[in-house]
Amino acid sequence: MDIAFQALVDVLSPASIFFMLAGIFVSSTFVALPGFDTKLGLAILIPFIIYLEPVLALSLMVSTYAVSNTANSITSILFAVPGGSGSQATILDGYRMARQGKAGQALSASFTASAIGGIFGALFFLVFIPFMPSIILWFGPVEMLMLVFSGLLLIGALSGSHHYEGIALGLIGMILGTVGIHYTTGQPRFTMDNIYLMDGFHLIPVVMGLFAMPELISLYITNSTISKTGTNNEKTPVRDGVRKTFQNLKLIFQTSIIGTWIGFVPGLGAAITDWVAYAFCKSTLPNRENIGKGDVRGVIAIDAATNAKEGGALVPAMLFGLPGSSSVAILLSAFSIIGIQPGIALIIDTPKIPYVIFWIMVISTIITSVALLFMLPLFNKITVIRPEYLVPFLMLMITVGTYAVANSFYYIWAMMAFTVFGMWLKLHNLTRVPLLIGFLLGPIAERLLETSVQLHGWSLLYHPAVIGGLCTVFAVVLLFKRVVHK
Amino acid sequence: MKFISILLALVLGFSTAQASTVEDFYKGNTVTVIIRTNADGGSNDTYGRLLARYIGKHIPGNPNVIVQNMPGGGGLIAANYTQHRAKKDGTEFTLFAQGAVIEQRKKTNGVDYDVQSWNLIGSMAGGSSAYVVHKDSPINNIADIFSAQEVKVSASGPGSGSYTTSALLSKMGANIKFILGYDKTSTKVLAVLRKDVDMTNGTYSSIMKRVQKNPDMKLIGILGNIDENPQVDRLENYVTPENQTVFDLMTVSVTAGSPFALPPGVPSERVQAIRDAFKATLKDADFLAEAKKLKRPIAYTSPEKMEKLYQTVLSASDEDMAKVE
Repeated sequence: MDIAFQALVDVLSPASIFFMLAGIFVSSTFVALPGFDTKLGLAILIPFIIYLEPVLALSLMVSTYAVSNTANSITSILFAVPGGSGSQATILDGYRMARQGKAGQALSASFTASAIGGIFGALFFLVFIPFMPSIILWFGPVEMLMLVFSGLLLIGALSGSHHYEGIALGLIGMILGTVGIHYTTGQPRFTMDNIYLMDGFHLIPVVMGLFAMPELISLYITNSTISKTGTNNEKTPVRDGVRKTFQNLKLIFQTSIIGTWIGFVPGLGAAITDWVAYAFCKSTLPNRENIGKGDVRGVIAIDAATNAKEGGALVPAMLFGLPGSSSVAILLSAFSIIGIQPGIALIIDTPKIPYVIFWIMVISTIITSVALLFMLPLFNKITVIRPEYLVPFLMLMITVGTYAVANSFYYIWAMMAFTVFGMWLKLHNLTRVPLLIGFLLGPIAERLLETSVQLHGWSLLYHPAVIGGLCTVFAVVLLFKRVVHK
Repeated sequence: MKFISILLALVLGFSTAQASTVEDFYKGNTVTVIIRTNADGGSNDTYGRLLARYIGKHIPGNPNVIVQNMPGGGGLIAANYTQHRAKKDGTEFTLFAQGAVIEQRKKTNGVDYDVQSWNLIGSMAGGSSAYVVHKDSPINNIADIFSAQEVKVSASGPGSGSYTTSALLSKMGANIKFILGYDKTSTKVLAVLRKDVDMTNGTYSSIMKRVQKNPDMKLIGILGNIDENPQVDRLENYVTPENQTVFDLMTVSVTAGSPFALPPGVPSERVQAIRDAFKATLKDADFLAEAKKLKRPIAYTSPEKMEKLYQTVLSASDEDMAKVE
């Protein structure tokens, strides 16, 4: 309990609050801009966190991540443009409410439900924290290997309809992850006698090149903005929305549980949460025929679920380093850059960090929801900013940040090479997340395999974790793929 | 008498001019500390930045001191830079890799430097190693390691400090079986707690942090300059004339754990000024307080001692080198 309190004190420092507000601003602005999303926001922030103390870096990154599903309802509700992947289903009821002149009520209900859902997810994460040290003792190298292996198989599930391409990209990511001096033998691999390659590719140029730069280039080329609509003229929209939300607490808890579970199981992904919550409303609620026609319950249920999901997703991410979504994959990259390695090292060496993350999630969720209720006019304006003004500035920031990692042009060349690759993938509609997951998990899987073989030799093949783990992973992946794509 | 006065005036004037030259040179100038790793908050980065925050006030003229991280090739890039491209006017010095001298002796691919040509400044942290087992283990001291049939040790990989200090046990006669791939002290310790392995080791401070927290762990041996726990067995007690060379070669990184050097060709009075400032910084009360807060032990090794150690490595015969590889 002392640790939880110390973590709260750390999070409430003025510097930490400042970075939390910065994260909230970045996240809320990015999801409100056409084409931008939280993933891009997280990626752009990465080069700058290496200069921050861990708690401040976490304040910036975790708040950006935690509130990503709150502000994204603005464009969904006002303009029928989904802000990121988790707010598509919000359009069905939210935009119809806006057209019925109830945009303010829809937004305020959305923000309130987001806060409750977000706190629910964070509490789920909190409940796990005290058990993490005991859980982690059960997992030796073999058990961890099976978990990482399941993470690698999830690559296929995260690849949308391109399963085979996703697995292929995951393999390429794994190969890229092997560049450098081999961990246990000291042999250089794929270094082409270049001393810069001996340490392998640094995460920052990889993430910037694969994610941030292609998105910015594509935004600059398409040069899109959201069309403006008029503001509504409701009398007490905030009060109406909040009241409606609290009248539907049971529904919020139900969909929060759904969201948390979807987040908890790696690979189910952000994109389906809103649709599962919508389907729940459509099939279980009284007067369900109204759902999809401007019913506030449709908005509330979805936003509670999408926000609760983030807390659930952090459990496997913190325990085993398994990213359940692209945002979590980038968040884990950020953690590794500030020296926080999920898993045993995190839980045993820095037991305060999970509590710090919990408090940042709770506080940033509350701040965001309250602030957004009062800041609607500002976001109305942000949505009409033309990307052509913003993109060159962001590109410059990324380039300088990447160079500054080691004051080396090598990092810029590496980023440019990955940008070309990232653009090529984007042009062919191939998701880049499997590549990043392969890059992150491949070297870990290799190391765990080596350790497991050294410990058990050939008897590794009969190890209960291997037999049970492999069968379970294949069964879950195959069955799950079928369920999800139904 | 007049001649003597003139001579005295000349000598005094000359020495004052020389003193003011160093001070004048550094006054308003900027000194760069090159760190051979990323700005990752790891041991090297922390030590380098800690020194940079305090050394400026001990250098004559109080120059501004900044840090530049130069990672790559396990320290090769920073070492090659120090040899060929670093400014030779005393405004750049490097925190280089502990194993730089070993790599030079082994003629590792990519080595394009000669540590003997550098102007060594000193080391600010002596390395140390602590050996731990599970409390149920029959191993109670270092003698038990030597008499055990086989001791499984969790380690990261060859080249790491902890690997070397366990490999040293093997070279001194113990039957060590390495289980590699444990990338952090916590994962190595967990392997001991799970009884996947018999023993692990790491720097004294990082191991002790865990021993104090976990009653299931037992400290059985120490290597290096540690005053605490005098009752615990020390590896130094097992050095014999036969294994002395192996011991010396394999503990170079333990003795000079955080080494700094100026490039070759720096004027000698500036080298001396930086060496003096380095030594004075390591006694600075504020500096020591911050080091304590950061949990980074400080131990000074003189440039003369480092030079002697490096000489031992560089003059080692191929036969001796083969013993430690």
